[in-house]
Amino acid sequence: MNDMIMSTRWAKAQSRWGTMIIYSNTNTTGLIRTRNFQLNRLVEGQDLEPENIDRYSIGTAGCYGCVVHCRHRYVLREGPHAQLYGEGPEYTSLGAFGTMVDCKKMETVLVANHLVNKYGLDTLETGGLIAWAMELYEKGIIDDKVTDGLKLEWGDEGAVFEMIRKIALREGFGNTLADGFRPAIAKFGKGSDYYAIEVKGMSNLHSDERPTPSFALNIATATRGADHLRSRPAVDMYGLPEELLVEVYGAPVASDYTSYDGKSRMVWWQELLYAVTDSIGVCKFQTVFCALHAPKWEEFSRLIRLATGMELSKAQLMQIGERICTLERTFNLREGFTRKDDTLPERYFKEPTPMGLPIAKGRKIDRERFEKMLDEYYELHNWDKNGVPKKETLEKLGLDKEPTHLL
Amino acid sequence: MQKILFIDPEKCTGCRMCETACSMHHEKVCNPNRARIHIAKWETAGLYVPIVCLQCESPICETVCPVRAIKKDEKTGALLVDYNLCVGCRLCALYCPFAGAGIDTATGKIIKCDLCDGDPVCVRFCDPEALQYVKATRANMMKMRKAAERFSELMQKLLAP
Repeated sequence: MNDMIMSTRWAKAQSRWGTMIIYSNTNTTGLIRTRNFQLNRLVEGQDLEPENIDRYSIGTAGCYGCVVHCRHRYVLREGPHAQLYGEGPEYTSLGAFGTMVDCKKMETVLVANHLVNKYGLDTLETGGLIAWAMELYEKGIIDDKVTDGLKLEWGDEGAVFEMIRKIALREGFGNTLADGFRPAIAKFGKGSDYYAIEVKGMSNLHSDERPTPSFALNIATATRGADHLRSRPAVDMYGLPEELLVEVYGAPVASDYTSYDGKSRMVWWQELLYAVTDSIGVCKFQTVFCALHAPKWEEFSRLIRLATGMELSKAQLMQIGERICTLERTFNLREGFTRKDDTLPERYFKEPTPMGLPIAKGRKIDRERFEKMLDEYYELHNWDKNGVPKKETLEKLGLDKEPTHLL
Repeated sequence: MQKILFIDPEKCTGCRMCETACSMHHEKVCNPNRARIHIAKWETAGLYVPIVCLQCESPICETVCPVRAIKKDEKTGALLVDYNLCVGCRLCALYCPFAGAGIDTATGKIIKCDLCDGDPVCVRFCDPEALQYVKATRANMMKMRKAAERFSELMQKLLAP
């Protein structure tokens, strides 16, 4: 199993530089949100390249029993933050405290990453909120009075560190942001919702999904809110041969990542796989995330048999995944989330990407085709047009007696 | 020449695969608690140190054992517990300065590294090669190289304009 995991190039790269390795590709292509959502590349962002972690790293750390050991242990040796120790940073932190707030120094990311870990905050959510506040400040929607006199300017690392502290300790303006996007929008008003890059109230990763419809469908449908790890088909980025994709996904899927064809199937399939992956405690990165030949259904089947003696076929595992997704869906429906919440921030449909390679430049999400993709996605799950699980689906999954207060 | 278990804490990633493999090999369960090797971790400093019997030349455990149950394996050089003699007083665990001998949490018996009869499983599963089973000459060489590297770094710092 370990050999199989390490046979993928992704795992080899990850064991050297961690998830930061994604940055090299996405920043060059133009798939990164910069200045909240204004640009899609970090210009002069060389210092955030993963190789630069080597200056600070004292070695890597692994989770229990893992051969990939993708987390760097880093120490800042000089400067105002000397002797500071931290672990990571993940790709997400590069975005949260690098690209989204327009900070161009690795050291800023390392310090901010240390701070959020110490305070116990989520790196993505914190960075997303700060970047949003910075854009509102720039647009004049909020001013010094709201921010307690703090000048929230792009690339100001001092402001970022101060905001992290304020959010964690719920001080003044930090208290407003600490409640999350939706309550803060209600408080600010004045069209601040247009600038919030959130789905179901949760901040999106710093990835720009406009050139990649499959990723866009992923964040729109994730049950937890804009959660890229719920069903992200990261293999889509490779442009793999279609014969290979048919074999894995079981029906035609377009190889081009800017296409809408078959992408709903990709998202649905990944969602089931990740639900099962999470359930058995295997790392998501080491299943079909960035490599098609990484361990998946058959290998999981074998692992479960060896550990517990239970015989579960691929079809049975997929059904378990389906049950998890459908149960989460019914939970969300009970809490009032419907089809209209399975959408993207307005800006995805309106503003074309301003930068990047020709394949990524000038792209936005086509609303009609997006809605069609959503229809297909519901159909694959056997839910109706409004995203409500059909009666027969619930019966088939044994969920018809669940106390969802809906049925 | 006999091989030795060479430990390099700087390479350890703290994944604890060695503990799992060790307990599986000896006790037939995946239970790090019952392993003969352990990783001591200081999470806030990022320091991971493998702790295992160092198979001393003049073993303290052997000296303090009242029934002379600790014996050296001629083939591997491992210090083994003779369970026919052991009375379970745990003096060896108490006096070992390196925490080499420990108490099996399930049976209460003394357990310690036996070098797996010359093919330690922990080494086989240590991906970052923080654990290596090598001849003493090679271990010396690796130590020497590391020291030389540090020395050269120091000299560069001193000679820098």
